[in-house]
Amino acid sequence: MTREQKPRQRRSDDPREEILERLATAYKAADEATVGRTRIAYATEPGSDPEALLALARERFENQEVGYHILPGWDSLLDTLANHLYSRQARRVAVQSCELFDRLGLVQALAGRVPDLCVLGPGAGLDEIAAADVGITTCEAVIAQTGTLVLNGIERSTLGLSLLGGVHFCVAAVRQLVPDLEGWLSGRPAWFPDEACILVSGPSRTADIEKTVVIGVHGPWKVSLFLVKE
Amino acid sequence: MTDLRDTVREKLADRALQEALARSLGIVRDKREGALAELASFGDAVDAASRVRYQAVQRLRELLPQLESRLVGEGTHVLWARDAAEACRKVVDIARQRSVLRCVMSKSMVAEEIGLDAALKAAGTAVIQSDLGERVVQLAHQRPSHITAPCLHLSAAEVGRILHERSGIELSTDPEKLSRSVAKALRPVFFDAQMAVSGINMAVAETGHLVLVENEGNCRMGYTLAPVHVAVMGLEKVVASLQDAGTLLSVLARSAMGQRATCYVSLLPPRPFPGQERYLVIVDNGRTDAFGAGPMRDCLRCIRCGACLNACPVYERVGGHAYGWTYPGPIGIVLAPFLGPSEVRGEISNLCSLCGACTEACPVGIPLDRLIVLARGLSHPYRPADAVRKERRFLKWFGAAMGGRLRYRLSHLGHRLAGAWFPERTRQLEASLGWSGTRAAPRPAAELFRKRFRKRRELPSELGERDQGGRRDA
Repeated sequence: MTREQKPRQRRSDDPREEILERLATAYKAADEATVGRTRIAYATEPGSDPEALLALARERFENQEVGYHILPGWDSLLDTLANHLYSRQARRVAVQSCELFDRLGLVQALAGRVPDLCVLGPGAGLDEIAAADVGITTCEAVIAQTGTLVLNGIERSTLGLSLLGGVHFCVAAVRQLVPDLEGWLSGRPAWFPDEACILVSGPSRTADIEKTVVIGVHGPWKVSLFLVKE
Repeated sequence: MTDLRDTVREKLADRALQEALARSLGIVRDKREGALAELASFGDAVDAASRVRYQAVQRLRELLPQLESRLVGEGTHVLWARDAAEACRKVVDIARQRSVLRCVMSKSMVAEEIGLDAALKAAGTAVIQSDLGERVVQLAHQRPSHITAPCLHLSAAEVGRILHERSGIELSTDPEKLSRSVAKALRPVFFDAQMAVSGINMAVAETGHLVLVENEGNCRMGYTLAPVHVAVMGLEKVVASLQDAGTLLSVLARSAMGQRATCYVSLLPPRPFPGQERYLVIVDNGRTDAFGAGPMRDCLRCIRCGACLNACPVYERVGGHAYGWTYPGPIGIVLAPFLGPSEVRGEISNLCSLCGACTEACPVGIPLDRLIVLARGLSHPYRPADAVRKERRFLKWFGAAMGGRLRYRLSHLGHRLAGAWFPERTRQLEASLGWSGTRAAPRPAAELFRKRFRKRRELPSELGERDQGGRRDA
């Protein structure tokens, strides 16, 4: 027999007030010391050298099963994307609405280059995006230390592009490579307060059954990054 | 309630469990070593992460209102709950007000702790766990056995049988086939769900971001597709800044799964997505008791990576269910006095050999072994009365034997003589006390410590210091 736990006496009708009061009461006796923060250092620190960043990122991508293609310039992007869609026999592709893709005329270019391809542009709903074979997005940054793509968006449909299809293609410029997450978050860009930020470090996976890694669970089974040198 | 000893014996005799634990924990440890090797120094990373968590816990009373104000200002509803019942009631009210019949739940330890799944079900809302491991244990009517790997205790064959019998999935022992089948079955459920419930890995007070960490994409599916998103968090999950969140993310995946980063980290802004309602439920449920419990406050630094479980030799032998509640392993022992149900508070702290492996593995520097000793002190009021009586009797006898120089010497002499003259009977007596039933008790040393100590003091000082120094290092 164990002794019964006594129900706690309620001090206030408002749980918020009570919880904060309990913290304040306990705090009086607490250690008031403040500690400074230190930064996590890595065995390989590429600094800001673009070639070193790229070399580290490539190693991480290979290790995390992120496909990557380094392109010499924007001119070659449209043909490369079209070739990849064609070779995958993609029938429907959903494209993010963004300034870069508008400038490149991506929606029209893909529709013109890949026969029988249905290209979903701005305004596509989540159901339509889920039925697409490939979702194409840009990203805000690429973190070299962890091989992570930093995506952003306000609309759920934008975020769905990197989640709901079987394959996710992401387009970025080499200059968007940054060393590590901690550093990138400390100098966050202006869009940050309002938009969701999704960090993608490879295709969806699980190891829940006997720790066997299975790629492609709820999210895409393939993530490919098209890195453009400008 | 089953006696802890019986539970342990049962787990040790379960061959399938032993195999599953040895296989899975071996893999996790190897992967973790590889991931930590990419850091310049694990010790320095622990230092950085523990500073972040220490400061966040110390500043809870300031950071929580700051977080609330950021969220409420942008349209996220913030609800506070003193205990599990209040938290469940608030989430059930949300579901009722929106006539929610189906809800997807992604892996959340705090939701498990407060029994949210059962509360929603009782209120008429069907809850479908969307994390693969959680879905398996839900179908098996079991509890998760590990913080990050809920069905770690099951073999692929057992998982295949459960999925086949309870969900109609084709019988298989292939993890890949099983994982894909579950994902395929859950796909329409995400589109059909009227509400998504998730946990929170961190909430950033400065900006109001909610940080969710996962590998499968089920959590993203939930909050992307459902019109209502309810996030439940223990009040200690707040951090001061985005940079602090970055520091913790750098150690979380490495410690938890041996990955340098999880496949997905979502930083949800304080403003909900257009066309979606978002709620954050901040749960106390004993955490303020831990905050006010002196050195035990350190247990609130935990980031739920499960590294202490993976390192623990006791967990490796008995598995998570032996601990009897939501949080198994070393962290479960130190949280139990505050968050645990009364029936586990008594004996759980005995599931520890005080080897300290958990403390060495913890990425936020929680001195778990020291806290477990303190938790043993707190367990006293909840222990079975007969166990307490036995212990008191033993301590009385022990106190009498140690209570004076002469008595101490006589008890030593008695033990040594008994060990030398009647070794078998002495071993039997020790085994009957329950301590040496499964291991050999060390024989008394030929020379008493006091005598050796006296001798050493008589040595030349340089030699004596070296000798003592050598012993300390050993």
